Amino acid sequence: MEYASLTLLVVLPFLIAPVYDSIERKVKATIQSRIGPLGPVRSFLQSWFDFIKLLSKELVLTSYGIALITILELVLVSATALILQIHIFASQLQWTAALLITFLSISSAFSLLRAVVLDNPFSSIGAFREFYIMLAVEGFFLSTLAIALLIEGSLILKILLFCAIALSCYVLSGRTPFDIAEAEPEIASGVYIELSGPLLAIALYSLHIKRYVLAQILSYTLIKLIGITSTNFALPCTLLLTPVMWVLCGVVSIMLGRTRVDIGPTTVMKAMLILVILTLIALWLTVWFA
Amino acid sequence: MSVKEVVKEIEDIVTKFGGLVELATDTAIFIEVPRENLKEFAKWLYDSGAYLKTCAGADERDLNSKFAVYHIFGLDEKGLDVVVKISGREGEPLPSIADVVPAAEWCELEARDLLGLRIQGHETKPRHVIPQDWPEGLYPLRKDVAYDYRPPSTIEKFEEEFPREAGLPVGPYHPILHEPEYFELYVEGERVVDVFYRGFHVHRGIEKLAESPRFTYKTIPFLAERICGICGFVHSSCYVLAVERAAKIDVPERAQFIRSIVLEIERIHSHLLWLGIAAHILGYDAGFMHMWRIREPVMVLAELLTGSRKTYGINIVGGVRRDIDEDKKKKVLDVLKNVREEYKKFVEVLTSVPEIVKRATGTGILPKEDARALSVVGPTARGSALNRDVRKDYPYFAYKYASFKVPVYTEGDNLARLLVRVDEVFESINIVEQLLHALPKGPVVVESYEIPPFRKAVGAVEAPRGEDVHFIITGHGKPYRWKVRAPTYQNLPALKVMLRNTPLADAFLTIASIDPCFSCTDRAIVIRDVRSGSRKVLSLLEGRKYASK
Repeated sequence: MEYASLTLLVVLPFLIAPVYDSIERKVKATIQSRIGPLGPVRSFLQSWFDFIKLLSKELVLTSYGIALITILELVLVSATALILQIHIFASQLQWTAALLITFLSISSAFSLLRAVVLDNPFSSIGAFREFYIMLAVEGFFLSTLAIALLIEGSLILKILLFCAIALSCYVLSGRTPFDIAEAEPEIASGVYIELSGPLLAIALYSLHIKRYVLAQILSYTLIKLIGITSTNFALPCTLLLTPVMWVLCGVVSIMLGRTRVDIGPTTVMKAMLILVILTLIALWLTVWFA
Repeated sequence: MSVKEVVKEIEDIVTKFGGLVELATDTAIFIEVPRENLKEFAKWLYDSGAYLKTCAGADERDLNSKFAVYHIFGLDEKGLDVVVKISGREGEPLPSIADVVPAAEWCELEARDLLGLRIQGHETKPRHVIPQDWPEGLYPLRKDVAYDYRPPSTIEKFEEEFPREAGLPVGPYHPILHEPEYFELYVEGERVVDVFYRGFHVHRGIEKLAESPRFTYKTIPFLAERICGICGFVHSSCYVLAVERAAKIDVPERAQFIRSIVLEIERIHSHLLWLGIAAHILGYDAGFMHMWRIREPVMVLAELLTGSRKTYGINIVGGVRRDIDEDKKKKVLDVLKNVREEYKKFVEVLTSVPEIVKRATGTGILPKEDARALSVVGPTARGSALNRDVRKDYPYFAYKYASFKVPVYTEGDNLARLLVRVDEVFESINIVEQLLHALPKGPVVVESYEIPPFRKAVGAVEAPRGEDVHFIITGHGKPYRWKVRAPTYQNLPALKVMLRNTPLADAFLTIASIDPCFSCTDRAIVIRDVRSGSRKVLSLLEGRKYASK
């Protein structure tokens, strides 16, 4: 039974991420007075259908390197998702937390690398924008996540950590206003401009898995904030909360416009700095009074 | 000073410059000045507050063995067009006024390209309108060139026109450009420092097409309406206005009202379309979707009044082909009431989205002085503190019966142009309501009219993008010369100023902020296969097959 549930847990992100994306699209369409994916099947499976359709399209390769990096990015994001599942399933294994943070960092780097290696000015602009976003968020995100996963602190500390992680997860999910690396009307999809057919399908699938990971991290830290520590209870709660967090991020994104590279990352960095300083103070106080 | 006094003053000045007044009407004065005095006279006009609307070259060799260039100025404050003619035989140099009136640059280059005029100062400049592979020494607007002449094409020559520096290419296919144009942005980091523009990729020579045997005064309005895919009614209105002025046709008042009503319906749906697109460019897709949702009933109204959502086809010389009955009137008023309420609510949301306000403020600035020098029109002018609106300055159709404000903002940035359009939608709804309530009874078209040959007239209509100008020299059964100047043609040169020092991210909003309509500017019609050299008109399905080859 345990093996069955573990298998399901391992496979879940890879099956369900496009489903959550389809639901997000349907919810967005409803808010925007559109129909969106038509009918109950497409409401849940439209992103899968898109994925299958893209796989059937012709592949135009500008270089073999880009194909390799795109596939490696998917492998690394998938590994990150697997490690996260294992960590939630067995949170007492602290090495899984360290491994999770390492893989989060490496998969982000590959995502950036994919954009950088393309010989296209729009992709280069997108890559630099992605770099600014990562510079503003990634370091804070990984450090606050490490503290949240490894240290039990006061409620104030947990709230501060959750705020920092929530902001980071939202920014890194590449939704408006922080979709500046893609920015379709501006830089013609930026980091995706040279991808087509199956390669674009892989890149988009990686994005779905990444969004699943971020939504699950957000759900898991919220569960920890609430104070649910039992694995038997935390795991189903996290799994149930993940689609809610995913769709919530989607709903927030449609109420905002796209930011600019000289405004968005700076604003986020300032907010993160404030949160991290407050977190450090709370952490210091926790240690002092312990 | 009254119009008569202005005309008198101009007559005196023209005499001083050695010219003569050919004709003076209520709306325009036609002057011919010696070539050598053109620049000084143009400078005097410009310094007197006149805007250059456009210039039109004409091949008049079968009338007087000469080519002519008509510079069309507008004295907005007096509501008077001043058309200044110069002429010369083939090969004789004609002066340029571009150094004293910068807005003349493009139209002079166009006259040089299409008629082979030797305009001083423009001889060595690259081709402006005609493509690089067009044969040397062949000028399509000359009367001795057949309207359907198509020279063989060579793709290689197209590469010659692009600059050697590597910039950021925007176009011919780009998500914000829904028609093929080419901008090359030169950037330092994410800041634009310069821009190169190449348009006219799909120039269709509609002016030449109108000289073909298949077109007459009666059928050209339908051709004119196809100049633009959004504001086509403006072009047919402008054309019939010019012809009616030239022939002094007294159009029934009811027809004038109907034209104004449909023009305002067109303005409402065009502005709503643009506001949606602006929201989309700024990543606020909810704004895009809701603005187009609000627009949809307006499109239904257009269909109710004209029979079509677009390309209405109701304008004819002497009136309109479709009347508005009481039932339609009531429906229009009901729908507009709902549209106003929904629009008002949503505009409040749109203008409070922080990213939209932040990114539109202080970007794409067009200072008033540059706007004046380039004679920009429409919301582009009104966003840069120029109080210009043809409906007020040169009242036509039924606008004199409507009370409305002309929104003017002084900042000159993208937000100012956005707010001008926001306000104009409210004003247009008001105008339609007023005109519907005051719709007079009577016929909608004159029974008969005559159009004497070789009369000249200027028609100007305020399109959603700004002033649309049509210049006509009447001929036998059809215009001898028909010149179209779409508003985008006048606003495009201002992009060079607006884009400089703008953040790259906002460059795309800046390009969109003039609401560019390249189909108006380029006017293209025939698909040509450059590989086989064949030419044919394709249906939609055939076109898809062609595209997949």
